[in-house]
Amino acid sequence: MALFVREFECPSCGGTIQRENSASRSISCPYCGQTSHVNADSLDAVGAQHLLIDYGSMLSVGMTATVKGHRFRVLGKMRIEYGDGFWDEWYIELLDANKYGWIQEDDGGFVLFVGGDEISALNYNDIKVGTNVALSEKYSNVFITSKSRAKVEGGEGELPFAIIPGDIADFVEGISEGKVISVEILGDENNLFVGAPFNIDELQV
Amino acid sequence: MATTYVNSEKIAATKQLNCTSCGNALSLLNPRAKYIACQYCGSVLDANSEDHQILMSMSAPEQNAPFSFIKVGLIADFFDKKYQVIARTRWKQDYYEFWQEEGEAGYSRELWIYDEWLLISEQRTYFYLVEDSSGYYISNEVIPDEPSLPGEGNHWSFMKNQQPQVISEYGAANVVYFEGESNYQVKIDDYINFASYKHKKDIYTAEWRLEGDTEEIKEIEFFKETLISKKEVIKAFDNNEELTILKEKGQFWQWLTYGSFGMFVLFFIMMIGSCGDGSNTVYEEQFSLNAIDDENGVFSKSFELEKGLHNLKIKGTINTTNTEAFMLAYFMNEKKDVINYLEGNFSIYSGFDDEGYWVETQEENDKLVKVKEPGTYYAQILADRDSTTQGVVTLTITDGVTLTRYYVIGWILFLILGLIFRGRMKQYI
Repeated sequence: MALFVREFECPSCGGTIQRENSASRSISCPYCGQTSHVNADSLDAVGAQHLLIDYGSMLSVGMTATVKGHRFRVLGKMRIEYGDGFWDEWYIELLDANKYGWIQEDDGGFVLFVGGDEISALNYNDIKVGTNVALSEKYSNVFITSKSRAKVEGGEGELPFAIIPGDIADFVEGISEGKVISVEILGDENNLFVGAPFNIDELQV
Repeated sequence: MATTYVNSEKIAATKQLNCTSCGNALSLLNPRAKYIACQYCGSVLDANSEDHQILMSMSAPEQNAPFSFIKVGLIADFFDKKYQVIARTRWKQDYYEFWQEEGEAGYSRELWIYDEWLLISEQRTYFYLVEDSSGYYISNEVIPDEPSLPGEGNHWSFMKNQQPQVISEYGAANVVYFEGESNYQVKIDDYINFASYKHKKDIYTAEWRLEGDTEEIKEIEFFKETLISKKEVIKAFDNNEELTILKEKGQFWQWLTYGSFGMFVLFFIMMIGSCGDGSNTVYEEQFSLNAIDDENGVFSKSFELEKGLHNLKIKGTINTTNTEAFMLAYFMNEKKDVINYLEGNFSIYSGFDDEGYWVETQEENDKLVKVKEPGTYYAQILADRDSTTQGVVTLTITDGVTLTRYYVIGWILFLILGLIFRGRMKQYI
């Protein structure tokens, strides 16, 4: 993977930022907290400089670990704030499968999402919690357990989509066949992820 | 459950602060906590701001004291890991409980209060320990295989390989008190809807919150609650210095409790032992009314009595219709000192009314007498009656016969004391 590592200069503070995943579209400066969108050979600063508070976690950007048989490296983190608190989404690269995924960390609970499918646009307002909804062709009977309109507080490291701190995103969570289903509606992008909860004891750092 | 306790050190706090309202020292263990409710005064503070602004004040903590020894700050060993109690939410349930009796079934409305203790591990993972006056449950969120909310019928399940079970409880619960830290602001009267069913020894529950004042559901969570015995809970908290102190205090009340219940049993046995059927006649003598002198009455023969309780009974059989006789029996020791007495009016009346001939008699009276010293005793019988009144008076003395009121009083007293002491004991351990 080191072959694809590329260095950029932070448009705000001039610090050197490494991009490890060529598909990453957002990158945050570890020095000043500036979020930037990745262009062909430069970065465009978006939003204000904002370093995320370190609330403590077993995970950190750059670390490698194993969970549920997947060896992974943490590429980035996105923090989402909603009325009742916040949660973190860790963007990971699965080192043995050439895939990407997410680890959702919320109130000491962890869910591993591997892969993700872009799905056709959902009408957030039409989705009712407590009902079964067809979210995609494959996941045509998902029991919706929550939906929330939340704010992207900011990021750390690199992320696969173009986030702007302060942007509002919609999240829909559900269960299908014993699996956790999560849909993120960020701008025009509707991504569906399928996950499984895991215990922190299963994480081998 | 609690097997390999590591040490009695508290989990390192990520922040120390003093309550803005009462000044008591507070610790934050969860680095993600945004709010802390002071367990000493009930003020809810902003945990992250520099001045820890008071956001709201709840009712005084003593009004919502925990059910048992558990409190914020105690460490515990669960699942072979060290945990520390960081918060407690007290919920009040207003719900419907299933009942079934003699072929009939239904739901009755109930009120219930329980505490939800939040414990955090060194790895910053959590679990909930649910406590109410009847016991403890460990609550874990589950991902159901077949998620659903209860429908119109009263049977439901959300896990594969479970036949639909009777909905055992359903209703709402609201927050009445909160202490400790939280990463979202707990508000008094925050409420959830819930429904539960039992499967084997576990309770499966769905909880859902509504969006504001609307009927729209905002979030649904599924839980499995597993019963854990008080013994296991005490063992899990065994390494706390606080628990040792509480145990010492509790032991004082425990000994009083055991002592009281011991005395209760003793009095009960003595009470049963003191019961007899009264059939063991120690002495009996009959006197004709004619033989009783108007002034001096008549003395019985002497009789020997053992120490203890005896029943003194006089039976006046009046043979002359529509007359009555007043009789007095003195119970005396060998020196003819009166130590007790018994009196009674004995009569026989008869006549005719609408239903025919009737006879009404009053023949017997008795009394317990306590013999303190074994020895020789006498009775003197006096009678006040018309000279024409004929009849017989029978003096009978039996042993045992009845309960002593002292044993009954002692039995009840020690039962009450035992229950009071047991209540105090349970406050500590």
